Amino acid sequence: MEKEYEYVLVGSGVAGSTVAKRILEHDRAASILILEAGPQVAAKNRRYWWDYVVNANGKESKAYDFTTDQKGESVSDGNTKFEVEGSRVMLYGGSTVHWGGWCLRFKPEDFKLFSNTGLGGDWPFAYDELFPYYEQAEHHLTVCGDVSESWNQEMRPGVPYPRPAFHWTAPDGEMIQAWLKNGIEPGKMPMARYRKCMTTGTCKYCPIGARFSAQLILDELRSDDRNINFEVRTSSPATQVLVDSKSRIRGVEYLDANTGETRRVYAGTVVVCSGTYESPKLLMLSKSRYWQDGIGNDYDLLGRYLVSHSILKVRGELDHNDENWFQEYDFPTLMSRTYDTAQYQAKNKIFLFKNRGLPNIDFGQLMIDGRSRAEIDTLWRASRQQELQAFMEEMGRKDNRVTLSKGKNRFGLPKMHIHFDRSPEAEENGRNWLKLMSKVVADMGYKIIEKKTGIDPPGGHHATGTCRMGRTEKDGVTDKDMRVHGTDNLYVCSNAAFPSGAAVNPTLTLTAMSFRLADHLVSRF
Amino acid sequence: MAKKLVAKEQPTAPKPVSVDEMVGAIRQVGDALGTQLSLRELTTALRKLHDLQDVKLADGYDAERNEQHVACLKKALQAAVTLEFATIPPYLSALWSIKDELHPAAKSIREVVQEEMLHMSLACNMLASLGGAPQFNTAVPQYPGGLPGGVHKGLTVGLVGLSKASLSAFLWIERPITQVPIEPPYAAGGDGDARKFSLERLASDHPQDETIGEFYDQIRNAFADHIADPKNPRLTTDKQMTGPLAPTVIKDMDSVDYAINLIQKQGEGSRNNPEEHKGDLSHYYRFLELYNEEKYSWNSELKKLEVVGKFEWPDVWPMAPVPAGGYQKDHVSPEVGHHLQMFDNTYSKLVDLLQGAWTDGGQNSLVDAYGVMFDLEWSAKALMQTRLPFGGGATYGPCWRYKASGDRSS
Repeated sequence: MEKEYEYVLVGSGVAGSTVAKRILEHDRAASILILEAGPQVAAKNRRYWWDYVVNANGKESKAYDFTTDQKGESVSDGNTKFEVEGSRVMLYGGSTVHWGGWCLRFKPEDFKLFSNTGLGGDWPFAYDELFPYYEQAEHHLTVCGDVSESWNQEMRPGVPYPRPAFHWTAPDGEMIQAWLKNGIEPGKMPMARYRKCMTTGTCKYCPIGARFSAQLILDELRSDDRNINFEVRTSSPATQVLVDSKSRIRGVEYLDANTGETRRVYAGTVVVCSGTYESPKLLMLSKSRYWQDGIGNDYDLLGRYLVSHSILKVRGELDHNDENWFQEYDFPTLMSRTYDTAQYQAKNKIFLFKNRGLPNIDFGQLMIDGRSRAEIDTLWRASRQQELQAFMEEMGRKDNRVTLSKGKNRFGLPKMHIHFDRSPEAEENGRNWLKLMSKVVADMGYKIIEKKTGIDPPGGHHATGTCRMGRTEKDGVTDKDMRVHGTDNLYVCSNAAFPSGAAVNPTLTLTAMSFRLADHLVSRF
Repeated sequence: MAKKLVAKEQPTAPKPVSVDEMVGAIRQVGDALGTQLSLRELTTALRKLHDLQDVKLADGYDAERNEQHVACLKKALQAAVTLEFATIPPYLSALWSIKDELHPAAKSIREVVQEEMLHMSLACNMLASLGGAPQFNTAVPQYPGGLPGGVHKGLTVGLVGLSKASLSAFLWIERPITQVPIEPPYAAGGDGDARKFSLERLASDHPQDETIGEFYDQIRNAFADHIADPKNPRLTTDKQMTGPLAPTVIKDMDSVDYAINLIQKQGEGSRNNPEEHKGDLSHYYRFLELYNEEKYSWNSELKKLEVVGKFEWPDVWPMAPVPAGGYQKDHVSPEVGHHLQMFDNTYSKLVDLLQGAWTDGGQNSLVDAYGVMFDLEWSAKALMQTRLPFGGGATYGPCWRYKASGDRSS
């Protein structure tokens, strides 16, 4: 008799680890297997941290850099290049190992994108449904923020953040003055401040686990000896979801990358937590006589409605830096949701923030070059740059999609092809936003650097939509519980299920959806 | 700026002693070193050695005196390390019981705890400067119990949530000889406001009590004597620690003075000034503010503390005093047992890392210790929010038990 797990989760990122944690809180003896395609790289390792500190801007400076998306592993066509390189890290803990940690709730209007604008999709429920789960997510990630901001007063009156926000830095003040002149409300970036921060400025590999990473959750779950049937298997890319019948999922087949053997595990419930790219790809690969085009793909919706964020940037330069300003944290402290509202929803609304990396000067290189303190001081005080940035929301379009490409990548997962066209309206709206942002930077007294101003290609990090929720199988791949339409026991817990991408980072919403899913799963029996 | 040696009331000429008396005195100290010395005994021994310092002896006895002297100083410094360490679990238990960690009471106590860690690191550095190795995992404080080294005999310190009772213990720990005047004044005991803390009453109940400040005065004298003698090896910085909680290495008398002045000022304040630096009261006066529920401001012209407002008592979880030996895993629910075990395991890891820091582990050990230290709060607060089965609403709390690494699985 092969062992049957109660749950097999495919993917060990924030979704998989959160679902596992909540299930185990209900039942410590639950048998859960997490399959992770990538390897494990230790967290809080003194040597890895030191290597990163010494070589901060160098290639491969962080011990997990070798798991990042590389050039050539995906191909994109369409009128807009879709940039996947550098967006994900594929390893134990998933992309929260390298993320920025920005944690904002989607706005109420984001759940009704199609109803409000005729574009994109509607969620099968409203913001209110997710309200208690957002609170749980904020506690889980230990988000620090400021409730007095007007959008917070609107969305979560009387609900405190677990931790107070980081204060604005001195350079932020200059931009805040320009914002106030332009009617933009300054806010404090809510961060996943999991543990006490000692401001090393090395968030991408925090030596004390202060910035949330799903790795830390997995480590805790595994070291808690009450979780007797909890297991994580790394270097185990899933190759197929196995079915018994159309509606009954049997388990998962995967490649043991260490030995090259193919293995099978069986489960009462399978949850695909593999992110917006790998989740639809896995389902597409899972062809059988019951699902000829892949599970959940009877209406050719798998992989479609791909959406991500483009970063809009306006950089300016000032011809002095008397204050000796210099980048402080490795995350931005200043942001605004003034243009992230229902009023601008039809115009590709934006989320504004200040580039965390500026002003900056490469002290290390100047010292290596042998410059004296006086010379460095002169250079430092000669000028400074600041940059205003924004994420722009785009709406899902049917032809913007992920499909399988030929061949496999280093992890044994299929390469992919992305087609992405930006609508002319979105292009125009983007240009208008840039004009507004340029005025703000000019109001700061800075001279705009045209070369560094524009719209970046959409990046792979905030991708959503490829297994979107819809009321029926003709509207979407998954239902309101993120269960794949037509199945009893297969779920997709991922940004892939989101019908809209909003203007802000998706991880807080994914964490809330993960808690909601876990509660649903344990309530079934 | 170097502070001059605290002058003891010494006669201008050294008291003449015979060689026999001298040898006897030295041997006494040496014999006493083999037993568990109280702080008072150490202080007395150090005073005696200091008094004898100016007497010239024949060769051989000088060497023995120097050896005894440095051994005594090292023992005193180890007592200082353990003493500073021992204040932290009770202070943290009080701090973590405060529900709102941004409450002024929480901020005040948190700064005290940070400074105690600093004092501990400075004491470790002082010990390392003499070639000594500070002990942690063989000198773990037990609660409830007296303070290490017989400090403040009669005082028992326990692990409990913030209360007037625990604050009065903290006040005793940090007490100066006398308190600066407070305006408006309150009379000691009896007629005055009986809810206010009375240092006079404490002092009259325990006339033999010594302050930690006086103990550090003797350490300073002993260092001065040690450094002044050219036959002694120079202080070594080899195994000392630097970083956010140990900002100075001990390499000469100036750095010893700096470290000890800092410890004294931050703890009890100085004789005429309750501030450790402008705007920041010393530990004693921070605890006094909280106990008396009034805010103080130092008027440096009138040399008085003025009451400038009310200090609001915070909302706390009612953490019960932890029984001797702590709560036993078999007698509590699995959830509580898990948190107790998590806390003790994390604490034990922390103690081992501290043990390593001033020996072979170095900076790595100390930085790892910071990370581990931040994890303690989570299990502690989970315990403080869990009611005891028959406690009338009181709650559990962390037990601060050390277990050697082989014993941590159960």
